[in-house]
Amino acid sequence: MDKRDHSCEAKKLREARSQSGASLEEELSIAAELAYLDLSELERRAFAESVGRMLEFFATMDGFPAQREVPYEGRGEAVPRGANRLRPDRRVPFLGADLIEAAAQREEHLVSIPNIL
Amino acid sequence: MLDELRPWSGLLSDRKRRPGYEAYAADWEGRIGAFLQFAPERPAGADAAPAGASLDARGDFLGVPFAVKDNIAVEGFRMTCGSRILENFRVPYTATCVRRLQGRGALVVGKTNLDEFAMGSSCDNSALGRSSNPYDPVRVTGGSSGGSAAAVAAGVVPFALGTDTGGSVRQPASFCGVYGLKPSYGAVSRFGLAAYASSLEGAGVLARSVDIVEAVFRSMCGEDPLDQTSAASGRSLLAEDGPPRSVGLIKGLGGLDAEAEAAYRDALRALEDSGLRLVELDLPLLDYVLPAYYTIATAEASANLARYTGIAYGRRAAEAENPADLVRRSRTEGFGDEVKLRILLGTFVLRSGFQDRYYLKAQEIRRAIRDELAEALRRVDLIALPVFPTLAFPHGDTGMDQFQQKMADKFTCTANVAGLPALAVPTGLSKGLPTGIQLMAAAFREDRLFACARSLAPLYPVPEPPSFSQEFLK
Amino acid sequence: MKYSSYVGLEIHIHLLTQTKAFCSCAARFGDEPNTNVCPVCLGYPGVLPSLNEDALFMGYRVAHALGCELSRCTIFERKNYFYPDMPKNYQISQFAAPLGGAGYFDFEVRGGIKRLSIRECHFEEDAGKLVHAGTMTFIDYNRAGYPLLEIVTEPELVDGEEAEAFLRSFRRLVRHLGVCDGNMEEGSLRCDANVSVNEEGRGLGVKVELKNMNSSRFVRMGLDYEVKRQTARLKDGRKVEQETRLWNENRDVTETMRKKESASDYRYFPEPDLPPFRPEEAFLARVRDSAIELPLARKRRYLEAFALTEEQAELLLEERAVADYFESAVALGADPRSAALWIVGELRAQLARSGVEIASCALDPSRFTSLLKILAAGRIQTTIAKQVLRAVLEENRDPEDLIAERGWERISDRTVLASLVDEVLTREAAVVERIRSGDRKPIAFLMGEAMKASAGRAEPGALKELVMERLA
Repeated sequence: MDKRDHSCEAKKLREARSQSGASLEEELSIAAELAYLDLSELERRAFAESVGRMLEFFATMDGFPAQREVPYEGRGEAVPRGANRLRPDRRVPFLGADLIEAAAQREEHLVSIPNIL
Repeated sequence: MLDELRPWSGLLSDRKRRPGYEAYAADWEGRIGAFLQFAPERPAGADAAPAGASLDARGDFLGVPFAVKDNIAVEGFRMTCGSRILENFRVPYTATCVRRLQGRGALVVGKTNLDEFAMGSSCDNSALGRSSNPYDPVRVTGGSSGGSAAAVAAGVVPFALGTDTGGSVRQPASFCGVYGLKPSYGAVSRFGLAAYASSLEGAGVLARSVDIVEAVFRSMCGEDPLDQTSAASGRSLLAEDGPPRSVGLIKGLGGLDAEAEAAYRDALRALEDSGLRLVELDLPLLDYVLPAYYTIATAEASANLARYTGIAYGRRAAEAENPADLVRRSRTEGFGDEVKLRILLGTFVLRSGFQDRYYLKAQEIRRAIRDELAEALRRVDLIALPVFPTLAFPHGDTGMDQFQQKMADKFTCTANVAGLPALAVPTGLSKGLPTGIQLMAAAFREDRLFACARSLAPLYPVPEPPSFSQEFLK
Repeated sequence: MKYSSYVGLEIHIHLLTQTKAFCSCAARFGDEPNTNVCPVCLGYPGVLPSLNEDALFMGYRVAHALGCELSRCTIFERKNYFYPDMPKNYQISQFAAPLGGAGYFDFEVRGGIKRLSIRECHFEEDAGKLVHAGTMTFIDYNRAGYPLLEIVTEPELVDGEEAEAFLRSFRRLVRHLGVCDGNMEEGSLRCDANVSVNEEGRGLGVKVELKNMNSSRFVRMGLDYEVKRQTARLKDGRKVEQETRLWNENRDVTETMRKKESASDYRYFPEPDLPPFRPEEAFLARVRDSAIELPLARKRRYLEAFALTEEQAELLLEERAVADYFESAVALGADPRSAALWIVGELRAQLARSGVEIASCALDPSRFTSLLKILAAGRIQTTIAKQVLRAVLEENRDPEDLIAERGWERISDRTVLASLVDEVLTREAAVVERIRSGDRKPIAFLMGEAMKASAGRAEPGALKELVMERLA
């Protein structure tokens, strides 16, 4: 954390938290669950600070004037419009190493994990 | 074959010269730690490429060694992405961009260090190694392609590949005093690049000469059936309609420290002296480019990194009661803090209830910026920008923290958001540290970048770090 | 108090392509585990999906057959969630812009035709397969990346019977289109349902998702059970919980899924690795040109134009190749009713025995028609016709040639028949005596002997007359 701004930032975050419904830490716990990451108590607080800071920064996008309706197809499309790219339906077996060998645990050519209860 | 590359050709198989080379490389490694894997005795070449990849008759790079950032697949080496979770992962295939170079005779001599999963601007986020700036090892190389930049700057390889998501080729190139090219989005296949932000990133080239950068780029670029976002053929991309005549400067750019500011002004004068007309550009939307960039990048990263669980490959946690537990532990143990932060952020901005405000908004901004820049690049041939607000900063607490580093990405991430090509050009030294300037061109107009860089080259000979030598090539 | 039930279906079909949706691995059922895999379908670092042309085309064909609006700009999306059978822990699917929009499908149920509205069709990839054994779970990725089409219907069905009828028809449709083999046991056609019950006129109730019904019969049973269950609860004054339930085929009940899955936020966003697909006019023209007559319409035609029975029409339409064969024969002049009879009867039985496909068997429509005409002309008996049919299949010869060669023509010539009969009666003089003295029973025996003597070729009516004449 930037030492100069630390106390000031922390105060702003606390204020923001008390105003919103679910706290940032709660939202963060949900995000961690969805992302399959375990966070310790300490980490939860630390990440809440850094995530909070970034989200505040993202909030500056609110100042961007709403544009004319952007068609959904345009969102996320980085490739300029051009010919469609399609792959012919022809088999090409992978001839490299036996990929299953890379799994940490396996049995009879199947990847194994503890049982789903 | 380029004259500059000729001395390198056959170096690795030359029993008389290789010991001198290995000693030189080892000496540098002790100071800068550019490589995570270095194998001059066993490089990965065309014979390691799959059947069907035949040696190009021209052999532009025959026997020439090069380095590859360790988030790009090269069969025969591990691909660690600078992370514990892939520390021992042997990749069973080779990235298309690398295969194309191998097909022309080039040999991968090693894999270079990077910020973990390419997330960072210092290279200090690597979980597996520490790289330092060849000009002053107290300082960072820059990131995330820090190892590649350092290896090239030290003269250990004539060129290296990196990946550039928000500046990760250009910024370290600039910190280390070498050229760094970020090609147009889609110009070079992404197949084989461990994905961080799919719609923003691509492979890039670092070298100490424009000619080498261009030659490598031309060899790699072109449509790849394995990457359906890659664009059609290289030759037709590089239109040539005379040298660039004008360069745009963005109004209201600020936040540079004294040395960076001085170097930037100096470079602008040099551009003018080289015959270019400077034009002021008003691009108000650029105020929004950085939050949009990080929103999109972290969103895509959160999905792209979901595959790392230790189930089918990679590091698996030692004990777990059930698969969910196994996955959580493997990821928690295997990822560093910066990676976790970006995954959490990305998950956040995609969550229903938040997606409109963050992710969709960012895409709107992106589209608008792309249009605004395309418009500007119809009025000028190039846009000049700083690379980074500072020169190479020190490791540790006295340097820049993670948040500050992110805020500093604003000059470079514009090209990624808009899918445009950009080149970091070295502009000498300031108090012993490399300075640089960034040029950006319209999509698929890399030719303009090269032309301008060539006209600047006489004014700015590429610097050499202390102890730099190419004696071993003789 | 009257209650209404609302059932909607989500059907997944495996498209019959050579390769997977996004890589060139074989899409083939039954191979050794983890032998049809590559870095792409295993979700290795650095790989990218590459869209299968035929899979997409098949998807559009199905959408077209269902009367769906065909998307001019269809977008792929990432559906994000973690599960051990998902290599990337996101599924490439579609969400905001599926390839097929609103459509409909007509099917027969309860003696009438019902129209079910289709909400959408979208393309996606399948996950791998999990096998549980003891304390471990094993993963086979052969199926990971298979191309799937998901068809979502509106909740306009009311019970298990309708759902089963719909499924049967739908399965027939996709088999006729040649895009899916419709095998529910092998999992190439899967059906999940959404069920809700509410007081009549109050609209949809609380929705329960129903899974694990692995045959159309189980779909019917599961839905009937669930509708009853929900109705009973509501009648009791209790609420129905919004949840996912599984059909338990051993106990014939639906059960709450053991693991309570919190409603997952899939965080859909457009797949950055695949550009939106914008079909050109040529592509859409190909889709339209490859359209087939829908089986239902075809059936109507068979009943009206050819006066076939329901059963015959249904049997002919089980396989498109059979229906095509039938129509080829009719076009060549075969009598429709006769053709239908023989195809669903003797021909089907013979082909089943030998395992040969109708489209490639030696009795092609023209030989078949020829045979039927010979039979109709009275030149051979029915029993002989069966022999000819078998012989053509086995020996790949023309019916005419075979009949001529083996002398299988019917014998109607009374002179010839008379001499045959006389031979037999002479031989069986003792039996003849018995008959003449009043015992009528052995007449059948004599008839049989006479027919045998003619190697089955005697015209039965004439033969009987002659025998009776001689006996009198």
